[in-house]
Amino acid sequence: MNRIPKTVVLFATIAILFLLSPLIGLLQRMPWSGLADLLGSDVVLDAFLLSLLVSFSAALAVLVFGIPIAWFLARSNFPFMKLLRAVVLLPMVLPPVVGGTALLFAFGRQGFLGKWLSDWFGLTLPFTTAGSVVAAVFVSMPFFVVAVESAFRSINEDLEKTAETLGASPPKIFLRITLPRIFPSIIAGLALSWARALGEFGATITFAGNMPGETQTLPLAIFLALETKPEAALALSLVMIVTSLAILIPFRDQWLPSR
Amino acid sequence: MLQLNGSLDLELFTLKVKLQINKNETVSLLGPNGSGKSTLLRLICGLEKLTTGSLRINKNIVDSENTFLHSRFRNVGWVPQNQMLFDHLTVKQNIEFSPNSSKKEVSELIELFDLEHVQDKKAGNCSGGESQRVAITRAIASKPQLLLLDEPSTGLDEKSKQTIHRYLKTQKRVATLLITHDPLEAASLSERLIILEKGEITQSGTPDEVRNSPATPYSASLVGLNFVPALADGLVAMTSKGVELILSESIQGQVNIVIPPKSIALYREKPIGSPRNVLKAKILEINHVGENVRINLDGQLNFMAEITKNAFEVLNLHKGDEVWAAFKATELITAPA
Repeated sequence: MNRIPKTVVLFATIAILFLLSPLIGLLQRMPWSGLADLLGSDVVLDAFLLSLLVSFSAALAVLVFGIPIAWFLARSNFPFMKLLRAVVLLPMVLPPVVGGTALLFAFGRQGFLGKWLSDWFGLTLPFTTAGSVVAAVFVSMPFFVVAVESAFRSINEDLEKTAETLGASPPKIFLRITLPRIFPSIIAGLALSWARALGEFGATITFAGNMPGETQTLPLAIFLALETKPEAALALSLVMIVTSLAILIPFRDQWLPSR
Repeated sequence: MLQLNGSLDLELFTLKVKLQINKNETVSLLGPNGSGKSTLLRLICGLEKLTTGSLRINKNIVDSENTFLHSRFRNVGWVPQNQMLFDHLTVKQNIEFSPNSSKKEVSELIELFDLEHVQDKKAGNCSGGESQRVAITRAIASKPQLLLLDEPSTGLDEKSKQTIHRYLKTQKRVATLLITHDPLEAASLSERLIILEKGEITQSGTPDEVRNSPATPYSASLVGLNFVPALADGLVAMTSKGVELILSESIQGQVNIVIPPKSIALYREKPIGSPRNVLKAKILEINHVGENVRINLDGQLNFMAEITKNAFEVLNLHKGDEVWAAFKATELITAPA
């Protein structure tokens, strides 16, 4: 058996207790008796469904665009690669409020892209559900890209080149050789970025606003409820915790190889 | 079949090769590590591009200044050194991966390479010998016009080696370029040897030609001879490192001197007497070869001595020991360079 040094156990215990304490505080104050009513209320239900819609739409967009970005970042000899990688990771470290503000300047009515979208396609993003999705994609994309890019890097390119010399077509090589090897990372990255999208607050409230049924996702509803109806905030938090755990528990092992 | 005349700039040197392989011929490519052998194979199968010159396969130019045929369309079977099996697929799925493969031929090859019992096993779970047989079978199943094998039998079990050798000797019907470190393998499998050193072909010829007149120290070491280029002036020749060798016949100018390893005697103390050439050296490596022991020596000259087991035991030699090596001038073979 693996013996873990006592000091390590001590510090790990302290750290785990620290991470658990907010959760305990939350559960301690949970209005268990009135919970059913609170959870059944329109505000909670609307926010929950909207959160699912926004986070899954964002995850889909992340999947479709994230794989090509990861592929490019892992394999290209483009001269400004270092800068490009940093730019792609930026939303991960940027305060989401800054991201939301930046999105507003780009896609807002007067923004250089927003103006064009509205003039040519009649599309408006700010303060719409689509805007919430855009904000969620912006903040959650890097989590997916990082996971999948490292998977691309771990593939020996000679493996694909051997397949080439055998006469295989590029789609066949991707589907039969590359994809099976990056698949676990795709799932892991997707779960991680979905979780980030679900919890997204700052960029959303800045860029998409806080309109019930349209852009008021769970985190926004919690923020609002905290001022007016604290027990509703607690119930909403419970919904978030349960939803997140439901996704995190099965996919936790995909990030780290299981023992 | 294959005609290559061109160069490729590498980090340390330029690979400069003029090479022809005829239909059904097997050519062995030998050379020290890092001489560009594997790169030459990559070049032929289309994973590198020539800097200058051209490459023809079956009369079609596949690589030149303004042509480059993608590896997918070259129809060249490449078996890289580390096999590059598709680990997540079964052995059979690996072998039938090429769109050129046919069901009938795949099952014939599986039988020929003795892979029936592992054909449904994941390739990642195969042993080293099985993996190499799968890699070769997979390349052959793609019906290549040219087969490139990168050290196919290095580190293999005897049975796998024999299976592969039997195929290459008796069944193969395609031109083949084979990288090997084993001169015996090269001599038994191929019609011609090519020696590549630092990106340049230093010798090319039949196994007999290379054995009888090695052109470089490396070629000589392949056939178990010591090879010393030197500048002769009468009965004395001086190596580039300033070692004087006494010759038995007078000669002038650049010469190649071959010292047969069996003509070298080793002593613990500096010998006094008849042998004219005596050098101090350190033992680098000791290899037992049948009844004899080959000893690689380093000193003023880098060379190999072959002594009997008996002599080896009497002298009680160990790696790192300092010894005196002596050989008669009459044992040296000298030829103008």
